[in-house]
Amino acid sequence: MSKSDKVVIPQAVADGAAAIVADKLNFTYNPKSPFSKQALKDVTLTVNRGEFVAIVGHTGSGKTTFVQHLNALIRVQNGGLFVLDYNLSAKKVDLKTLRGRVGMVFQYPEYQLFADTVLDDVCFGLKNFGVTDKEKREQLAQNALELVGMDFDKVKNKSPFDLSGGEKRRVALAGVLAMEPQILVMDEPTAGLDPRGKREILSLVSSINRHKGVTVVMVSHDMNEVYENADRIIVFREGEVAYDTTPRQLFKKEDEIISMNLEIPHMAKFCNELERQGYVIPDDCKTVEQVFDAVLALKGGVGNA
Amino acid sequence: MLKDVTFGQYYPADSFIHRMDARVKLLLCLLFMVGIFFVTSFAGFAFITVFLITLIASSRIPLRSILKSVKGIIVLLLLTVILNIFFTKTGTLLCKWWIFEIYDGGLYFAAKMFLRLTYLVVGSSVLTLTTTPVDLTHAIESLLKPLKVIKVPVHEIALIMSLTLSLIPGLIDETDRIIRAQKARGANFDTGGLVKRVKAFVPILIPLLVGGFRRAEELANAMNSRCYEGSNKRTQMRIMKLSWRDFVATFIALLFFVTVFVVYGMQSKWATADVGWLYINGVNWLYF
Repeated sequence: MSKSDKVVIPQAVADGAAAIVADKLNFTYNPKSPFSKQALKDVTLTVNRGEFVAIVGHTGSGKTTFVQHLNALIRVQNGGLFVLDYNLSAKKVDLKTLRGRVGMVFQYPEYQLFADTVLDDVCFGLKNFGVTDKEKREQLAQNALELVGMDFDKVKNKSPFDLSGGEKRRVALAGVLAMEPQILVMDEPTAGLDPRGKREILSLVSSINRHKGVTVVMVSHDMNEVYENADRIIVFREGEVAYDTTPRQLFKKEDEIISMNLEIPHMAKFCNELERQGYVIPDDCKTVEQVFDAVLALKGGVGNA
Repeated sequence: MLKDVTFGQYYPADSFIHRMDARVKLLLCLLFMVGIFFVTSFAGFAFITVFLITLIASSRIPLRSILKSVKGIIVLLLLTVILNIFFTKTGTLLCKWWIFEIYDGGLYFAAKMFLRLTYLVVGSSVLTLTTTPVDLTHAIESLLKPLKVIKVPVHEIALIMSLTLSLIPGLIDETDRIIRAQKARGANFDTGGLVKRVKAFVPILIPLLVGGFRRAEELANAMNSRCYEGSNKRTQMRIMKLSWRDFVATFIALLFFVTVFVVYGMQSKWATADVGWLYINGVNWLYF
């Protein structure tokens, strides 16, 4: 563990531009046993502050292992990892403040609800992170519940087990958002929701990212949602970073994406086809409306300005 | 963290013992356990030691994994040894201090008890390390089949066992995930007094129970919707078949235990005779 003694702090971390810097991160499950499995191989990447980054990859590609490193649920075995101003390769890390600042939403977060009332459950994290003042806690909980679109007065005294699936997930999300994290890490936050529930969660995350400047790292299998929401996509393949680029650039490599068992988003397919037909679509056009306007502009027609 | 605990401690390898029929392994393991209680002398234990070493070597299981299961009963072992040393009052008195008296008979008896218990655990862990829990359940079902005659619901018992076994990895995964999720919300399970620590488990136990019921219900629905019925007409996906390995192993094991039974089962008759092999210096070493 002598690696923690002499660490060179990356420039991007030192001047506060980067939220996450991973440098040749390796991780092996059950080392030195017949079950041993290398989950991460020399993962090197940077996530800037305020960025919305999506992590995609086939099952078993190491993406979940990687994101669990970010709040030290999995400790660094080998390599460098900086999150905000924490050096996670060091022997001692102040886990309590780190975990308050890096909010982690797991797959099916509604399965972690346990308290008698919605309010108690949302306050659980706040209590653990040392918000001792009860009124302050309730205020933060109210803010978070309202942020996720719940009627605070209506649900605060309800049992979380009496809510519908989508509501449970939003309450669970509020339980993490209440801590006002600077980085929000989410593992498939929309899995198992209906299309409307998915849209609601995604627009919520997007707006937290845009309006509150929270850095978002989202693991997802749904290429369409990734394509529309993320600033950048990092593709994991067998524990390594295979691609690290913008959504438009990534999905131009159609054959390579398909060979990794990933799907091409509908809009990306459409844009690729348009470009083959000779239209030039700007890189930041991702939604139907944006592409529509871009095509109209090219045709010299009137966009709906 | 929890994933490090492999349930049922199965150790995957390809060996003679691994490939044996689970039923035969189970029966031979029982035979071994009975046999070891017949052995009463150090010569006999030496014999068993050689047998076990051969067994472990042929199963390709690292000694470390086997010692791990012995570690599980270390408290029981120590207690047995200590009690036997102080409470056996046969043979010659070796030393005396206050109310404690140690006789050489006690030392011998404690040592034998220690060996017997250790070997019991080693023998049975060879079974569980080389057989998957699922195979073991099938073996139990197959061996209990005769009880169907007296209306014991053998199939249902086996089904409950294998369903329980199959749910455990899922529950371990879920526990692991819940622990991580609550840790991410700042839960702390390692500090504080007893009450505080017990209280800290509430955020794990409640979601786990809720999840357990949910899984059980889903499974019951899935079985019902496929009209599951445990009747005699059900066939098995994996049919257990005896092979030459099982006959060879049974032959060796029987030979071994017949020897043990002959030597120790008729102890009373042979022990009184002051002649016999290994009769040296006035001590019959076979029974020492």
